[in-house]
Formats: sequence, structure tokens, C-alpha cells
Amino acid sequence: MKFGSFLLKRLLLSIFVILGLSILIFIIARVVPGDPARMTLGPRAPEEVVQRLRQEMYLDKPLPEQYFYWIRGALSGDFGYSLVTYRKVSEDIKEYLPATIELCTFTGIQMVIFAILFGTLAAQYKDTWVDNLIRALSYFGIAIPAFVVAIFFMLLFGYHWPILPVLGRLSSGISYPTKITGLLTLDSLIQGNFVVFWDALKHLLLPSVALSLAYLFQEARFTRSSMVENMHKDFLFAERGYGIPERVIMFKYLLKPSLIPTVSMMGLDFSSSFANAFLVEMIFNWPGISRYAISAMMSKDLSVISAVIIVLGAVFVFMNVIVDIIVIFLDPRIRLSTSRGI
Amino acid sequence: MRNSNQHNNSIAISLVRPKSIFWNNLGKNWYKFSRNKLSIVGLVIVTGIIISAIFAPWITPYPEHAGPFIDFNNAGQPPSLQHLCGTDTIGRDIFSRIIFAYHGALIMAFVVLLLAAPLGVFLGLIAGYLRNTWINTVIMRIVDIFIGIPSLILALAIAAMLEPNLMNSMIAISFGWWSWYTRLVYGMASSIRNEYFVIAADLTGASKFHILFREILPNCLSTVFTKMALDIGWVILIGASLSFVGLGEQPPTPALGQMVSDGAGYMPTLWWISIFPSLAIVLIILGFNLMGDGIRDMFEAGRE
Repeated sequence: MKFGSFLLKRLLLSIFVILGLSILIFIIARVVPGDPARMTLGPRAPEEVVQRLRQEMYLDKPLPEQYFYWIRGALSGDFGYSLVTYRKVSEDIKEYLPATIELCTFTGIQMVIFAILFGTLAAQYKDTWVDNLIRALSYFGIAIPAFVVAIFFMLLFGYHWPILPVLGRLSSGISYPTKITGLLTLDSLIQGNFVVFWDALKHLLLPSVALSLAYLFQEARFTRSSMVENMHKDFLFAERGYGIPERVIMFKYLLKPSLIPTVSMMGLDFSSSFANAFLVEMIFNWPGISRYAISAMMSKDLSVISAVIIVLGAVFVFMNVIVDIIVIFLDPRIRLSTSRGI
Repeated sequence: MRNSNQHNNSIAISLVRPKSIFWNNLGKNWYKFSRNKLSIVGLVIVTGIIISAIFAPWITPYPEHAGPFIDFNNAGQPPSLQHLCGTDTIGRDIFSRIIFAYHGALIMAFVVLLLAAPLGVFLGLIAGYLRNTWINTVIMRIVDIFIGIPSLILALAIAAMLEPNLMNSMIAISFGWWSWYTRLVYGMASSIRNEYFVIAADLTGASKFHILFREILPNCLSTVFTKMALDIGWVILIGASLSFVGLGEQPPTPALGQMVSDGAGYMPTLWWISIFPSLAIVLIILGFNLMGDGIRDMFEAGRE
């Protein structure tokens, strides 16, 4: 009941945010100099053809009406045509998005596993070299942009120590599995094709590590400080008094409540990894949505840029809702009305 | 009547308003800042970078290499005493170009924060003070939209729609950045407005302007400055990302991200072209982050 109304409120807010974002992006796309119809057809197209396209694209209508037509199309998955690929933007996104989702999902899995592991280690061995090492790594993790890590990986694993593939999603001799979800690892697993699975996994490793490194140690620090803060809480004294083994206390009673700030942060980080994937995909030649968007940005392909922003905004907002739900499960006391501060 | 109000008012304020939060306790603040040795390392790095960027035309070995300069005889030289970080594919000294790129990165960070922070703080103050009115609702819902999408994606999108240059990339980054300050100040302002000294000022007839800017604002400033100090590294990182994609400063003017992506294609053999600018990015962000942590310790040490 309370949970349901909370969820409803969050979903309504999400829809509001996405609508607002779409208005914002639409206005900017229309305000910047340049005639979209002229840009679609090129500088040498005759004026009457441009005029006709302008009518087809509703560019002769007032702005609010234009927005109405645009959002109506967007809601049914029609974002217009790309100037670069000459295909429907929605088809392009359908083709490129799975590669990015796969990359970011692997990044997210690494973040969850290693941030919690390192954070717990740092808290357990507080003020020893383990703690200090993780602290030092977290300083560097924040300061090194993902694309710089990617460049170093390229140099290291691409040329000096070629044990892992650095380009693309699959080796050249291996054919793509039949498309089900578009996530190569998942598709090959479903079809029981372990050669492809192993190859896809190897290709995923370097880009996803490059992406996750920036977030991982910061999250580990978060986990650590939250655990250290909780270490002196009364409920732990009580549990020690009952004679519960230290290991059980550490993971069952201390870790769980300490994970709340980390989970909130991981949600934000996961969504922002979609943005950093823009740069990492460029370096590793990863055929994802970011590379597609960058080529659109270079040629000022406004319909593609708007579509990608809306899609990524939706991912971000959706992630926030999921994070809120996870946080509620971690902390039953949480007051639903004031769910998350920042 | 009016006079006596004014009089009471000023007494109340001088009792409660924290005087200059920084200068009056310089020694104490320096102690708090320098307790963590890493903050001093950060301060040294930042000072070094700022000084070298300001005096770049005089201290770099080849200042003319920051402009349209071509010297194919010296193209692709590995690092040596003559060219500390080597030369790029058209013979420009990479070390000199890094120092000049620092200049652009610093300008970007300061301009973005000076655009975004005052605007965000102003809106946050208003939204916090006028709680339970439609103004608050409008401002905070707009903030929700801007915070609803990662800053890097928003900046990339805006920069892509405008002409690519340094000015527009600064606009693109500031475009959503203010919203974080609004949210920060909103939270503080809406709790400070219930403090007794604000109520007292209100009762003695102080104007809204006075309450907002002389009572509430000074109490938010230390947190805002801390956030600004911690944000500098972020802005530089996003700026480098934009220029890496080609949406920042255009060649021949050097920019950190642009230098990295230029060299990425010549990777195994001419590794120094992108590795040294990469290290330069790490150094400047690390410096500002460490210094920012020190500034946070300075302002917040009492709250631990």
C-alpha cells in the first residue's frame, strides 16, 4: 500500500522528468541555427523540394505544435531519419543499443562485486596497508578519466602484452550468433555456443574494466566509511554479546545496512557509465550507441542526437527508480516520504 | 519606529552572522587544511599548474608550437632533453602544448563555475526561502529535469548542437551544472530559514532581500565554496572528454582531450603523443581533487 503509492509517485516523477527533458532537447534542437530540412537534403537540393520536406516535417507550424508532432512520433518509437545512415533512427538505435547495454551491464556487475569486496576488506583491515592501498587507488580512480584508462589498456594489452583482444566485440574468424537479445554473451549462452561466449567475454573485459575503474574504488571507499561508521552501533554490541561469529556479523548485520549509500551511488554511476561509454567505445572500436551518437554529433544530425539523449535519459531515470526500490529492501525503516536525499 | 527597527536588526545580525569565515581564522584554517599532507601535495600541484599556465608564453621551451606551426624535420621525435615529452606528427613540442592546454582547461573550470554556481545558489536561495509556493515548485521541478541526466551526456548533446569551440563547450557544461548548486543551497536555505536569527530578522522588519543575502546566504557559503573546490576537477574532466570527442577547443589551439585523441591512432610506435597528455589530465584533476579535499576538511572539520 505504502510501497505501491511510493512507487507510483516515483514513476510519475520519472515521466515528468523525461517529458521535461524532451521539451528541453527539442527547444535547443530548434533554436540552434540551421534549417533541418535543408540539412537533410544538402545544399544543392532545389528550394521547392526543401519547402515540401519542411511541410512534411511540420517545420512551418508554430513550435508547440511541432513539439506535439515530434513527441507523438517519439512515443511510438519514430524519431525520424538519420542524416548519416539514411535509415530510421529507431532502427539504428535498436541495432546499436544492445552492444552498449552489454558493456555497461558488465561494468555494473564489476562495480557491484569489487566495490563491495574492496570496501569490506578496507573496513575490516582499517588503517592497515590494505585500507591505505584502496584509499590511494580511489584517489587515482576519480582523477583518471575512463578514456585515459582505455588508452593505457590499448598500449599495454594491444601491443606490449597482447593477451586480450582490444578491438570490437568478436574476433574476425567468429560469426555472430543469431540475434535474440542483441547481447552477444547472453545470446551465445542461450544457444549453447560456448566458443562465441568465451570470445565475446574476452572482448568485453578491457572496455568494461576501463569503464568501471573510475567508479569502483570510489564506491569501495563509500562502503568502507559507511561500515566504519556503523561498526560502533549498539546493535552490533548486542549481536557480539549473543556470541554470533564475527564473520556472520560482518556480512549479515554490518554490511547490509552499510550498503545503502553505496547502492544509491552505484545507480548513479551505472547510468553515468553510459555517458563515459561514449569515449571508451571510440577507443575500443565498440559498435555501440555511443559511437553512433558521436558520428551524429560530428555531422550535426539533430534527430539522432535528440533521440539518443531521450533514450539515455530514460535509462537514467529508470535506474533511479530501481535503486530506490533496492534501497527500500535494504532498509525497511526507511521513511518512504523522504526516500533519498541526493 | 523604522529607525529603531533598523537598529535592532543590525544588533541581531552582528550577534549571529559568522564574520568572514576564512580570513579571521587564517592560522586555524591552515592548520586544518595542512593536517592531511595530501592536501598540501594537491596545493603544490595546483599552484605549479596555475603559475606555469599563466606564464606559459615565457616559460615553455617552444611557445610558438601552441599555434599553427609545422616542422616535419622534427616530427615524431621521442622524448629527449630537447623535447621533454617528444613531438607530435607535425613536429610540435608536446610539453609546450600541454602547458598551453592547461591554460584553456583552467579558464574553462573557472568560467563554468563562475557561471553555474552564482545562478544555482541564487535559485536555491529563492526556492528554499519561498517554500510551499509555486515558485519553489517550478524551480525544483526544473532542477529535477537537469539532474535527471548525467552531466556528461547533457554537455555532449548541447556542445554537439552548437558550433564546436571552447566558448560553446563552456556553455554546454554550465548548462546543467547550476542545478546541483540549486539543490544543495535549497536544502540548506529551507532549514536555515527556520533558525531563530532569521525569524528575529523577519520580526524586526528586515527586507526579503536582506534576509536572503545577508542572513541565509553567508551561512551557506562555506558549503558552496567546498563544492566549488571539489567541482573543479570534475569540470576539467568533462571538458577533456568533450575535447577528446572533438567538441572542445579546435586545432591548432591545444586542448588536453584533443591531444590524447590525436595520438591514439599512432599508438604503439609514437606512444608519447597521447600518453603524456593523458598523464597531464590525471595530474591536474588529481591536484584539484586533493586540494578540494583539504578545503573540505578546513570548512567541515568541526562537523565530523
